[in-house]
Amino acid sequence: MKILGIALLILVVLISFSLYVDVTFLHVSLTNSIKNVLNPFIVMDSVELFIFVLFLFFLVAPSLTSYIRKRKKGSNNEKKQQQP
Amino acid sequence: MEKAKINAYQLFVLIVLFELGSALMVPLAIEAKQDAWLVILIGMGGGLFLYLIYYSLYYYYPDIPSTEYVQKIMGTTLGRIIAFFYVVYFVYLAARVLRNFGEMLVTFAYPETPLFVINALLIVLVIYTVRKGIEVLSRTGEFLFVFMSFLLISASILVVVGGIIDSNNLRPILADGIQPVMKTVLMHNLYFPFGEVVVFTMILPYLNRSEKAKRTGLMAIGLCGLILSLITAVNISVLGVSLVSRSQYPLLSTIQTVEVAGFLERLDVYFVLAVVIGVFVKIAVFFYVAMEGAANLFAVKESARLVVPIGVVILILSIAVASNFSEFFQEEHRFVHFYVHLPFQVIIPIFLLIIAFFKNRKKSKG
Repeated sequence: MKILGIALLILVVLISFSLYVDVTFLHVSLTNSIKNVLNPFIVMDSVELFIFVLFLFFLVAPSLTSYIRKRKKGSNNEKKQQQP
Repeated sequence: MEKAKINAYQLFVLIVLFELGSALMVPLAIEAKQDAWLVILIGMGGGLFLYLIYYSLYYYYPDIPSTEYVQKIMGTTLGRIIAFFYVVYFVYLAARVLRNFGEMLVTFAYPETPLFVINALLIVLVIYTVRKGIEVLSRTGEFLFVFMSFLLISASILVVVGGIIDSNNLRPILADGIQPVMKTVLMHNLYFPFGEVVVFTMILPYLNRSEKAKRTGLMAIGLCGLILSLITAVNISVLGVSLVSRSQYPLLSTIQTVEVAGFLERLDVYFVLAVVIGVFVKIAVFFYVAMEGAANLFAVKESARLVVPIGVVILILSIAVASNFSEFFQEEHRFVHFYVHLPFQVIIPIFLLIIAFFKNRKKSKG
């Protein structure tokens, strides 16, 4: 989860920076600037979407598996403690 | 920090390929018209000076990367903030280089392929390389350097033999005086590509013989300056100032005009191969230092775990950074060169060096 948090933090900072550059230096309105950022992801073809989802899967999968593993370990330990 | 070592030659190769990377693609310093080659040479001088600043910081802290010595110099809180912004800066530059490369391929070679797919393909390759570590990256660089040298030398021979060079296009020299030349150096050329060597403040600690860092870096920057200046001079002398300033990829246009003995023509592949090699190394270096910096800053034990997340961030950002190529280009020229590069490449390092100097003088006196 920490890893995902780091990536998300960097992404949010950089997207905000990109919006700031659009609004301040290129004089685009904030609404249009947000639309410009989101538009390439909205109009994706099926192939692009597939690749994008694949990347997101590889991004989330390791964190998710380690989270599930930790939960399993935790529940196993609880069971062991409950046994006399 | 990864437990790895690179030698001086590998550092030299990395700096050369990194500097040539995207600089080969775009028209450099064309604001100075036919004096662009001179701007690059002066910019190279500035780049050598900046490298000496980075080297001096490395001299004070030879075993730790810049994200770590920033914290020692500025204190933990402020140092961490600055280090975080450096990581963000490296990711941002990697995304910009990736976008530039993708746009080039879409414009010139694959008009039907979506930009996202092209960028994704390159970032997968970079993710794989960066995951293997700095040693593999530098050995890959060694291999690619030979290939790049062959491309540059043979392309130069073909351009000369083709008889397309008209040196009159380079005249008059300094027609409008030295002012436009110096303005272009200070507004653009000092930062791109020469100031980007700031990234090597994160890689210098991996060097196995620290006494060779200064000479190797200076030689690499000098060689890059000469190559880029020569390429720009050739572009202008073949195409003329007007065409170079209107062309998105002047080196490509130059290579397309080569025709030797009536059958050696359409050598576009030379340009594509050189750019792919340079851009690959450039993105990989930015990516690697961003990953190591983030791992160091957020105390992630295995930095390799950050490879895919940062790769995805770079990919998403490369698409989101601008809605079209003209916006991307406008941003680059009007904003990034001066307002983004200047603080990270010049102001902060000079400030850090001054504080490090006084801190270390106190220590040595004590």
